[in-house]
Amino acid sequence: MSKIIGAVEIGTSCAKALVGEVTEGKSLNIVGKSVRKNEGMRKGEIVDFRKVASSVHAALEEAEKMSGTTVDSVYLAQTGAHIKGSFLRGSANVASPDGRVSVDDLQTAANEAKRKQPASGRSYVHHVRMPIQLDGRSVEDPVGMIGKKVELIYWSIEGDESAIRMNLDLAHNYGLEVADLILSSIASSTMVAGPDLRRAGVLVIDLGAGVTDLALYRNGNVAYTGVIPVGGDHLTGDLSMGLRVLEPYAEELKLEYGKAQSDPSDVDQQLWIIGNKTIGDRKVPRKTMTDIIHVRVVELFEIISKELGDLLDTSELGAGVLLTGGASRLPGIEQLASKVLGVPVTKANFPSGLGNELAQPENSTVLGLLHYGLEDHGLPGEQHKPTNSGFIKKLGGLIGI
Amino acid sequence: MSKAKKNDLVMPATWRNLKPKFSRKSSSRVVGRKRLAVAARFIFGAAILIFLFSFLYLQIDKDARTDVGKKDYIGPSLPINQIVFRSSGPLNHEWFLNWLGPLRGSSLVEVDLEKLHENLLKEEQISSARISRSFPSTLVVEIKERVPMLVLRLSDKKKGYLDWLVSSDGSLYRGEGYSKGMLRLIPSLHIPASLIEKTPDGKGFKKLKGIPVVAPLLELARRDYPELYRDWSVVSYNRPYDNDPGASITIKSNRINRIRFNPSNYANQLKRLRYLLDEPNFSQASSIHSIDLSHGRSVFAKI
Repeated sequence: MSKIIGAVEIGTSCAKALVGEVTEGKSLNIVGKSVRKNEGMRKGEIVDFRKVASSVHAALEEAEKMSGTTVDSVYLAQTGAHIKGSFLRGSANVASPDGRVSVDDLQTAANEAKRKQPASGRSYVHHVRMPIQLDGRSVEDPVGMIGKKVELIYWSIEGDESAIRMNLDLAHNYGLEVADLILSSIASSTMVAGPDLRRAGVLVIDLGAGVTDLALYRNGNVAYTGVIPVGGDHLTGDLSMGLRVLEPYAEELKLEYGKAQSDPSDVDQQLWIIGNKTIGDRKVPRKTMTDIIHVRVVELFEIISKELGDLLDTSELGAGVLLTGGASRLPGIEQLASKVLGVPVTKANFPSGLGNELAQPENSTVLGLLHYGLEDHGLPGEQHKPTNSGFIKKLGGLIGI
Repeated sequence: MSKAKKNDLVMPATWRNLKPKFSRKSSSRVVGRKRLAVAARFIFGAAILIFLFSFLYLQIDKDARTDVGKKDYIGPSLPINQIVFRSSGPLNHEWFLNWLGPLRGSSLVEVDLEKLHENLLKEEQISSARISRSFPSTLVVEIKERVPMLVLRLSDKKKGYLDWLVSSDGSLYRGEGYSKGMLRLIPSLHIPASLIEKTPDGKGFKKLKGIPVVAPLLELARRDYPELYRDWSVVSYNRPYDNDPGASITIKSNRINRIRFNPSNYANQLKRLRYLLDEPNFSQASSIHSIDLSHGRSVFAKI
């Protein structure tokens, strides 16, 4: 029996929706996909709800039409400069007289860890569990093992409540349940960095249009996540101002001729801007354009370097840095990033089996949402609660009662 | 409750606790279209349901008005393999089987009890009937027969004459199963032909209106004065109504040519008759011409 699941990424430049069919528990087939231009966001945050809603709902409708089915629940990506992460710890003494760890002990430790309330007006988005500690030793599944104390550590990500609520409302207004809200950086790194890379240590940098999402893995676990409010749109903005062209022209120039680093041949190249009625047809030196981009890209990686600080330790990053996201298409960006960060940087690859159309860097987050959603992230032995997505609730959700 | 315990119950603020805010106004055209489509589907579905329920209701109502009796709501059952027949009179099990005709493997639920009951009551000899099913395969029939009080002999074109039995309610019936010895003990009825009316189909006769007045006399005599009753051979009446000053019932016995009763207070009249017949003059007479008991306290007798 198959199950239909959906994934929605509300990005700064476009809204993406995927419809997947899960067969026999784990096999995922993408049966619907849609991308719609989004003009209601700045730096990963909604500034015009109705514009964003139009884009997201149109993308969902198109993906559903393409798949020939309807989606009941979706995995939703969450990003934005308001997102912050911190470690939460909780522990519990083993209650059983024979010292065997039970699911209840783990639940007690988990509740203890998650008990800390975020600041007023903020809400938790994601609790990423680290390996469970049993008497100081890392274990995968301590249930049934003998010990005295279990400790749970979560990398807990919180964000601005109103921003999260707006994100959720976009799905609810379409009559959808949100199966899980997943941090964009974790979703994209799930897609591009497999378990072996994560165990070796890897930093995944998702260069989006409005923001850059970071996820650092050490020993297979999340060690840090962050969101930097700089993305590909800033390059476009810089080009628009530096070359004195309108943003759509600047975007076209960036995509067509943009490079992260100039080379000697750029000096002689002139780029013609034709058809711009405001300033007339004219030419700009390619080196000027590349320099503008270069400055911003260097600045971005310097911010990342500063943000990560000591975490950017070459010895702990065996798999180096992986670049993904739409802006990672910029030629030469990995060399520049490597120079600034001081660690090997490569462009991320997708697992085999994905079609060329899907296996593009800008799709890593939305694809990762589906893959992350398929994995079990609960406590060992934990019972999963069935989601309530009955007809009446769906109907009520859609008609707003 | 301790403070620590209270803290345990505080729900951590996660996105799952954020209640979605719904707006009745569509947030996008797509949602507006979708809501419209859902509403249209809902209305269409509701209309179909209403139509189906109405159709079903009308169909059931129509069936109920027409031929509910023919509907098999119980389902198939076993064929009848036993008939229990009980009667208060001479009609027996054999008579009933002949009367009913062949069952031809009819199942118990297929028997139309109402019709069977109706047909049984068409038999003049039967005054009431009770029919029931005893599952899985037994039909139980209980009847109460009329008791003949008098025999009325009427001329018949084909057979010369026919004897009709008269029950206490005035019904006339041919009677079946009675022994000749029993019929011989029943007095004959002799009344003017004008009092006998045929039924519309011409096959039988309407109830005799005077018999319900005469019957108590005969019943009382049979029960309390059997030695007198045994001797009664012909009963006749003329205007036998108790509010009629000229009403009278006349009985002819083997020993007394004419005994006249007034249709009221039969017990007193029979008591006087018995007293009179015990008088030496009457007890020694081999035949008595007449005794008239219809004049209140006076008795006119002629030996």
